[in-house]
Amino acid sequence: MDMKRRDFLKLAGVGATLGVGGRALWEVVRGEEAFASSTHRETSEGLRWAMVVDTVTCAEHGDCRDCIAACHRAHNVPRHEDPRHEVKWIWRETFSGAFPDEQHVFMGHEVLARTVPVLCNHCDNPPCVRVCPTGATFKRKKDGVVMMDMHRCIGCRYCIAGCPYGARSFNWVEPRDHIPDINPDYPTRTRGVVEKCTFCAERIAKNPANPVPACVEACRFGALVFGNLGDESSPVRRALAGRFTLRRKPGLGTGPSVFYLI
Amino acid sequence: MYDAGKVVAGIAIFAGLVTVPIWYQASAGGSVQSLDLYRVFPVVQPGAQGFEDLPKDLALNPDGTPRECVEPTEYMRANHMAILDRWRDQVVREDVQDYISTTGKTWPHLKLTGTCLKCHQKKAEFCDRCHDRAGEKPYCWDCHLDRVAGGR
Repeated sequence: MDMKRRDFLKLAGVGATLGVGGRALWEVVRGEEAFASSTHRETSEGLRWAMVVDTVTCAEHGDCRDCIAACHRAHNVPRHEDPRHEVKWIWRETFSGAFPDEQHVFMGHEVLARTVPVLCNHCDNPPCVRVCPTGATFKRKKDGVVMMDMHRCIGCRYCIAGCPYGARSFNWVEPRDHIPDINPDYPTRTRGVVEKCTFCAERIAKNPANPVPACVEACRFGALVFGNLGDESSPVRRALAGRFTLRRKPGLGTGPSVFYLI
Repeated sequence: MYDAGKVVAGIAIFAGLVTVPIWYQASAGGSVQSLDLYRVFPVVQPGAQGFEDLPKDLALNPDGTPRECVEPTEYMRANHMAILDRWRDQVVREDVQDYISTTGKTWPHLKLTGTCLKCHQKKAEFCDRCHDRAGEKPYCWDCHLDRVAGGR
C-alpha cells in the first residue's frame, strides 16, 4: 500500500480518538448514559434495605456503645491497640465529622456535640463497587445491600479510596490474633482483605421477611430502625415521613441508605 | 514450506502429547464429554498405597452408623472442592442458601463450618490428613473457623 506519512498520521489520529472515546460516543448515540454516576437516579420502588438513626435519642446516651459492641462481637471484628490498624464496621463520629457540609459556626452546641453512629451507607450508587477490579464488592440487585466477597478481595484498597465515608477497613495484620471473644458462628477475615458492614447479610438470609441487624437488636433505646425503603408502611419509611433527616454527603450522588433523624 | 514433512510431523506429535488426557480417557472407555480434572488426576482414595490408614468416614451417628452427606461419599471425595467452590459463589454472591443434591434432597443454609464441620467435626483428622499428604494447602481456614480447635 502506498500511503504518505501525512495521511498515515491523520488516519492514526482518527483511530486513536475513536479508540479512546468510541464507547462514550456510542453510548451517547444510542441514548445510554455515558457517565452513569453523574446521572444516577434513585427510585423509591422495590426492595431496598435501609436504616434510620435517631440522633436525638442516640445523643442522650452519648457513652453508649452497645450497637458497636454487638456488631463487632457478632462479626469477629478485631480490636487493635494501634489506631493505624483499626478495623471498624460501625463507630461513633462527631456531628461535623459525619456531616461536614451541614455544619456552620452559628450552629447550636447541642447539635454539634452529638456523636452519631456511622456505618457503611449501602449506597444506591456505590463508588466502592465501581472501582473494585475483581468484583469482590458488589451491590445485590434484589435488596440493594453492598456486599463483600472476601474470597475475591485481593487487598488493592481501591474501595477504601473510593468510599467517601471511611466505612472500609483494611486488615494490615492477622485479625485472628486480635479478636477478644471469637464467635464460632461467623468467619473471621484474613490479613490483606478489606472489610465493612454487610447490613447483617447473614441475618437477612435467615429471616428475609423481617430481618433485624445485630446493632438494631442491641440498641436499648430504639434509636436504630431497619426496614425496606421501598415499602411505604415499613418502619424506616414511617420514621422518614415524620421528621427531618440528613444523609451523609448527599452532594456526592452516592444515594446512601442510612438516614439520620435530626 | 521448507522441510514440510518434519514440520507437519512435529506439529502432529505436539498435538498428540498436548491432548493426552483426552484420548487417554477415551481409550480407557470413558466418554470425552464427562472429562473432568479430578478424574484425569484422581484424588487419593482411602486404602490406596501409602494411604491405608486414612479413615473411611469420620461422620458417624451416635450409634456408629455413617451419617448421610449432601452427596454420596465417592462423589464428595472426588469433587468436594468443586462443590465448595460453587457453594461459596451461590451463598455469597447469588444469595442461594440451599443446596439441592443429585439425590433431590434439599440441604438448607450451606456453611463450611456450620454444615460440613457439623458432621465432620475433626478438621485435623478429616481435612488435614489427606490435604497434608497430598501437599494441598487450601486457605479456607484462614477465615473459616475450626470449632474443635477452639475457633482457631
